[in-house]
Amino acid sequence: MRMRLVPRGRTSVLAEVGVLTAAVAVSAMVGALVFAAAGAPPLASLGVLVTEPFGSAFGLSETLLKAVPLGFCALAVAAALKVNLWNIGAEGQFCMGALGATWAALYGPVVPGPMRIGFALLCGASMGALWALVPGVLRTWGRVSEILSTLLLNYVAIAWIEMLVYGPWKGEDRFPYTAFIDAGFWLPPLFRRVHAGLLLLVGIAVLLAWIERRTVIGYEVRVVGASPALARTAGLPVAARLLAVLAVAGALGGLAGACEILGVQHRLHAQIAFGYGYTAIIVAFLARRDLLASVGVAVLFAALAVGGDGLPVADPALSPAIVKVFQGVLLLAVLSGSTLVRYRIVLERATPLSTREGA
Amino acid sequence: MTPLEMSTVIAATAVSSGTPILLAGLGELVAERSGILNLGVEGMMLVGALAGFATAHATGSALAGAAAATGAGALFALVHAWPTVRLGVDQVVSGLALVILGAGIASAFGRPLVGQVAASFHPVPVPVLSRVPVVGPVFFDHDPIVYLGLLLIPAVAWFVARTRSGLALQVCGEAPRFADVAGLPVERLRIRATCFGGALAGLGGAWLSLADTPSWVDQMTAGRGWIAVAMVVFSGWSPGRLALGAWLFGGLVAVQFRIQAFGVHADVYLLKMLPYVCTLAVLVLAARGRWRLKLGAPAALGRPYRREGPE
Repeated sequence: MRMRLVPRGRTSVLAEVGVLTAAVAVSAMVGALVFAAAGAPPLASLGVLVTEPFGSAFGLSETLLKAVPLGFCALAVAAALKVNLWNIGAEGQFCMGALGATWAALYGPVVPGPMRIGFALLCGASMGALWALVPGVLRTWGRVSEILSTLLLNYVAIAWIEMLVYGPWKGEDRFPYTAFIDAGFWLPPLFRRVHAGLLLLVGIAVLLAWIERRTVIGYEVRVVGASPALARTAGLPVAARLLAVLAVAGALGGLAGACEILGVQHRLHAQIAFGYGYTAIIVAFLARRDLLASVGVAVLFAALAVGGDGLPVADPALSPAIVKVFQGVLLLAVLSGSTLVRYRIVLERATPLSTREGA
Repeated sequence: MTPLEMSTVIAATAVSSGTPILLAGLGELVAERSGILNLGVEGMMLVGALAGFATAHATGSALAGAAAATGAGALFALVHAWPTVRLGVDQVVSGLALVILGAGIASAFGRPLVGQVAASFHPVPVPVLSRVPVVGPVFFDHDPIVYLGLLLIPAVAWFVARTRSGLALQVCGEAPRFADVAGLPVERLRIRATCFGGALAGLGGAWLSLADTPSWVDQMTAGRGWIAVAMVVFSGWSPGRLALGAWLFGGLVAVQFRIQAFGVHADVYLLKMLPYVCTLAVLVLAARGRWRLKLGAPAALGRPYRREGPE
């Protein structure tokens, strides 16, 4: 017997929903197996992943709190995907954004009160944009794969922050943290710990989606993404558009870091990025590279992360990292499943071509 | 220390520290030669490092650990190989999923092993050869996994260029349709090549947890899997040049750890950035300038092969 993929005539919405449901079910089953292997009750532990983020006002606010950095990072990945570039560097852009915002608050020029937060956000976004322009230039001028360059720069960014928080930027106490930033730079709270960064995220996502769909620049970017060759023939400056999109992507990653400093942590340390940049890749892909959908999926994945944080509380044998296994399986399952929406599998006996039907 | 002694120590550390990049890179090179791009090297290394350490911890045998790491890497590579080869799933996304999945598995299951000890590999000097000045300490005074890496450089080069199976592999990566017409089982060969890549990545990871710093530390590969992928690009898919890239990385690690011992003051964190920055520089060199590659990537790299449909 051998397996053959035959393209389906058309794909149905029902099949896509079915695939998504099946993928979640498969991930839940693998999750249950992992829980059982770790010696925890599988169903109760899966339940924790749902009740922890949605079961209480605290859980809900924590979910929205984590959705801000994850949402910005997912936008950073999705924006670059508009021109078919893989931004694996949201983690590093996050770090640079956090660095820029911290610099503005601790060492920057004196800025009049109401403009302080805006200035710090701007510094964070600019640092993120500059950080993403490096792979952009390496790609357009040096023909270096942006997948590798964006990723390698993550490690450089983290080492840079370490250099600062262990060295010149070290705060008063003996830990590798900077001093706390002045309260005048804090993003105003909305409810509980959730801060105004959430509004900024939604506002920027809507703005970018509008630019993509309704403006000339957005149209040009879509043409470059669909076919660089066509764009070049039409006289569009392809390299310049690629660089611009990467700069925007980097700025979004930078805003994630800046919001984390100004809204939550209030001081810089080396573990600031916390893997949001990597989870964001899954989020952007599951959102089908759509900007608005990325924010929605980011909320779901933030919920998953909150659930993960609840795991060791529910059972000390469990690690929050199990959530990552869950995410990886989900991505692979959706990926394989979406192939099955477009093709059907035919099992056939290996026969000579001449005896096959219709041959 | 004389400058000669100093450079000998650095070169010897470079050869051993380059081992995980060399092993994982050779594996990735074989997989890419068959047409499969597997970005999941980092994940496979982490799974190998954990499987190796856990097995050595449980059995008390470093050799059993290395074997388990190799097997675990190969099995884990199937998670990438099967969907990409049989279903034609996007290889970039699948590879990224493998990294996240591998990191998650290693970090979730490795937690109880933090701070534990396990059997480890020790240097076994090669008789006679290890006493040759300079060359001896640089190449012939290491642990067995390093020797295996060194032996695999000519072995893989010979296999790919000079054997029937190696040529079959190359055809699958350059022109899968021709391979199919010639009666070669394209899908099976690609799956095997990817699993071979996973096996070597797993072993490379195990070198870290069983020989380099015998212990389990979360995320202990620190991007080496990605550097291996980058070095394959730099190598122009040639094992000899890949070894150069791996030793360059090893040299930077060696400098990072030895420079302070030589009384030179340099910022630790700047040194930490060096391998990643140099890898980027090397990628630019491979794309431009005098070091530019004469031959590019395998023509069908990253493209799924289907009998029906456009080439």
